[in-house]
Amino acid sequence: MNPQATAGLGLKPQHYPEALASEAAGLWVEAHPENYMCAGGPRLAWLEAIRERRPISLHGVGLSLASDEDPDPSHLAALGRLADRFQPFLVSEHLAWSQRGGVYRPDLLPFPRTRAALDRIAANVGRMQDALGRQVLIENPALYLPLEGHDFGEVDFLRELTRRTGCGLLLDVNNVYVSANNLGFSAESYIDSVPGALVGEVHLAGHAPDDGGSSLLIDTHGRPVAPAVWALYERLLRRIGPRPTLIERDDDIPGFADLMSERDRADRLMADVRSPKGQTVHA
Amino acid sequence: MPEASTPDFHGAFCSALAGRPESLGPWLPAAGGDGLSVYRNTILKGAIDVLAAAYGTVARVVGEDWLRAAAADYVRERPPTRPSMLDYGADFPEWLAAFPPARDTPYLGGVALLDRLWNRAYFAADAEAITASAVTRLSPDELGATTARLNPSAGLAAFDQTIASLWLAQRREGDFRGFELQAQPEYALVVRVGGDVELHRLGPGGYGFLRACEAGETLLRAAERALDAEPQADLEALVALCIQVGAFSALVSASDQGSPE
Repeated sequence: MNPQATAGLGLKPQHYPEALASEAAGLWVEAHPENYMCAGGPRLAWLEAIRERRPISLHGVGLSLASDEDPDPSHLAALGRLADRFQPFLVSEHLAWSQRGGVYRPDLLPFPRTRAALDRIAANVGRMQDALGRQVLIENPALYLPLEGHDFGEVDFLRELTRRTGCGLLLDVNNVYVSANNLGFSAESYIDSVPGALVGEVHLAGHAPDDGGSSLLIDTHGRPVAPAVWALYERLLRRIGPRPTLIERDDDIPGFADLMSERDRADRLMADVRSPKGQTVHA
Repeated sequence: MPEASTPDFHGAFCSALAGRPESLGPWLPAAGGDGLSVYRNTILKGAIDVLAAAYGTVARVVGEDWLRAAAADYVRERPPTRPSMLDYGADFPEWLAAFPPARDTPYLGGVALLDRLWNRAYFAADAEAITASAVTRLSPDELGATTARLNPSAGLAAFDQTIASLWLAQRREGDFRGFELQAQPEYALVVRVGGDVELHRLGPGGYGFLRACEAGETLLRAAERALDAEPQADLEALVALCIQVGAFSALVSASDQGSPE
């Protein structure tokens, strides 16, 4: 079992002092490397101080692995410098794209999961792993468009990507729930079909209905984790066992204690599957 | 079903985001436009959020809604180019100064410039500040052969109104109501020492002195510039202030100039 199979929190600047001072057992934090690609200053100093006490995960949002352009070498180099400096226990990126033609679109954009896309993304994941000298985890996206032209289902595509590159998976349970709602598939079937051995990390976050009036759910990271997503998480844990699990919150950010209570809940659920209720553990 | 669709798809998706959803026809034959709006909104919000955070004093002066509406125009004209957006909107102050709806508030560009200098200082390289004794022990000859390197976080600004005071009032008291801009020049140094970014108001002499140092002039020439700008300036006090607030990170003698660090 992974030694860090405990729950962590997305690190927000407003919570630096509390994250540093927290005595919570097993707490780890995850940072977006793009927010630390600076020459100096307080953010790097805080991350350094927290890293002395806690494991850190680096979760990239900007490498644009599913673009039809190569990953930006300067961005990859900056990511490499952060990984060297902070020695994260996990590094992850998304099955999505955002950079094209000199424009960065701060979102995680979709693509048809074709064989050609698989070739290109596998090459890009390979570039990333070669540059960092380590395995990375790739996260399933939240989807909003019923695209046609796929050669693979998402789980098959991810499984094939791991087979070709040796990467692992970051399973975002909220993204599964949101995509299942938006595209009309069964979130339970998806969760049940993910190969457990490939999952190196789990993400939990909140979503919201589209205030534009459609029936879409939006992966806002602006609310507590929804009950239905907790239920999917428990279903996953019962099948594959504990994994490092992150509570993500990037908008409408509450106090540290509120996020810690969600984080503690994930930790308790993992403890429950380690020693299931109703079974007496004899020393 | 399109064959080897990846290369064409990305261009079509960018077109669709730009308002031509029919570009996605081969991949999106059915109605699915709601999803495109979600992507459009997320992309726009992501960039606006960065500007709203970087230009927080502007937001407090004009209101968050006004700033976000202006930022939306800016984002459409000058979208982000790189995934690390710590530097995004570096030219927003000049853009805002020329933004027609800001014509009635001509000081906004200056307020934005100070926010920009603050943000730049926050992420700049770390540097030690030099001590006063490092300068006072220099002989007059050495003053003519030594340059003072500005702290990497240091930024300078000059205004013909009391915009630095307005910015400070807003940042410190969280309120600028009752504050009246005076038609009186102000000069500012924004610099970070350790973790704290500070704005210091300078006289014209101090500003001239630091601008000369920034341009690589010797301390002697910089002192002359200070006196050109403010004949009655107290040079000793002025240099002491600059050192005390951490404006300099190194003294470089002329004989060292040009040698790599």
